[in-house]
Amino acid sequence: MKDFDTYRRRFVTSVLGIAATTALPVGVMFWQTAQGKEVDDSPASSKIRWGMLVDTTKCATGCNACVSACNKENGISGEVTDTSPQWIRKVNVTNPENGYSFTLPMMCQHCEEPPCVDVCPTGASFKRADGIVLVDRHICIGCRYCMMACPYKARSFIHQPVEDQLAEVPRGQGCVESCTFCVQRIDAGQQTTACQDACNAEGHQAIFFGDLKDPESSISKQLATYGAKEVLPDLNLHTGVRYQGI
Amino acid sequence: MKNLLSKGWIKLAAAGTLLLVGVLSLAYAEDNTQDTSRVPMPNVTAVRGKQCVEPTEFMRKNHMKLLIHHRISAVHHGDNQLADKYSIINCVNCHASTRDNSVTGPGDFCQSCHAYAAVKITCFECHSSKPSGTPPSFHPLISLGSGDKATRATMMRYQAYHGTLPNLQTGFSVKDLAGVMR
Repeated sequence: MKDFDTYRRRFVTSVLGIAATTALPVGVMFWQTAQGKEVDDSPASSKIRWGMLVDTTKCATGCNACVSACNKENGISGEVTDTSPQWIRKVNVTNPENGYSFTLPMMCQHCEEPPCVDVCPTGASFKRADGIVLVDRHICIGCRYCMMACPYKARSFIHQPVEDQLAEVPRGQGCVESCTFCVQRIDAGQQTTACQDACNAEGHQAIFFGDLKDPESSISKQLATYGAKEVLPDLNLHTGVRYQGI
Repeated sequence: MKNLLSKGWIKLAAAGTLLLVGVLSLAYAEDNTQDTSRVPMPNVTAVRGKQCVEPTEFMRKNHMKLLIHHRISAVHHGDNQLADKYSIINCVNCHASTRDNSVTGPGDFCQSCHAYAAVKITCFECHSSKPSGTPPSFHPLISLGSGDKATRATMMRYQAYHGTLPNLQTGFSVKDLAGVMR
């Protein structure tokens, strides 16, 4: 017991000592905040903007690897009915004038100015500091305005009760959902998405994912070399997903 | 007249009342001793590890505050849900029943208490009610001995946050103050 009392006294002394020495820098920090300097220490930082580049010249017609990988990663059943959720879908495009056709995966484009966020009446649809557009299901009331507003038809409404969700990807009835750029992977420190991994595993390597604000990232270099277009660029949404060869 | 009433009528009424009270109390006493009461007492025994992320008394009153804090930090700020010890994933990992591997079945950890308190539990309409990965390991509580209440609370907060008490021999840094200063 005597040993414990000694330990207790030393513990309190240490805590008080450290508290006194940290008081000054903490005061400076509050002063900085009061002066309007942004203190950004959350993991989703505005120093990063996550983006995706799809090379449609490499994307193979009939290949569905990205879609099934997305379903597996996010615990989506994958059955195709009129009301089943769809975070990513393959779209086949043909130019009627010259017959040039290609295929591309279409998903949430993670706009810089997302219309879904503009119209959301509750604030459930939001853009994270690192550019990922998400739905906070705690706040979503299932009104589906965002589905109307999205020019890319990227969002799905969950009509049926969901069972056996993955622990990292909570999903449920009555909410709208869409591609999250595999946010559970990013928050856990990974730098790839499930669709990208699946595409690479198929040997197509049509999907690049990375930080658009980092000029040294592979996606930035790819964009600088080849350039790429947004889908519906005249809407000025500045999408995070770009397509090469459209 | 007065004497007559008090002797005959009141005596009879008193005896009757006593009998009625006796029978009723017996009936209720029998009711209370039965196992199947109308609202079963919560069963909160399902745990893995030796200690929760905060002391039990604190968790009973405040688990919802921790969860709502985590909900904002995980969804909006991008905190790693797997590393955050206050995440709902961690709750389920330790508290899932061994019987049905869930926290929401009849008699399971979350469900039994919420049924008792008549509070609807909607978390698991979206969140998985089944454990995933490996449950985190906990250190057993040390005996806190005597000492004043505030110090003990500080030490408990420290231990709850860091998992163990600091080794004062090897030094004690500013980082260690996380979870202690409020």
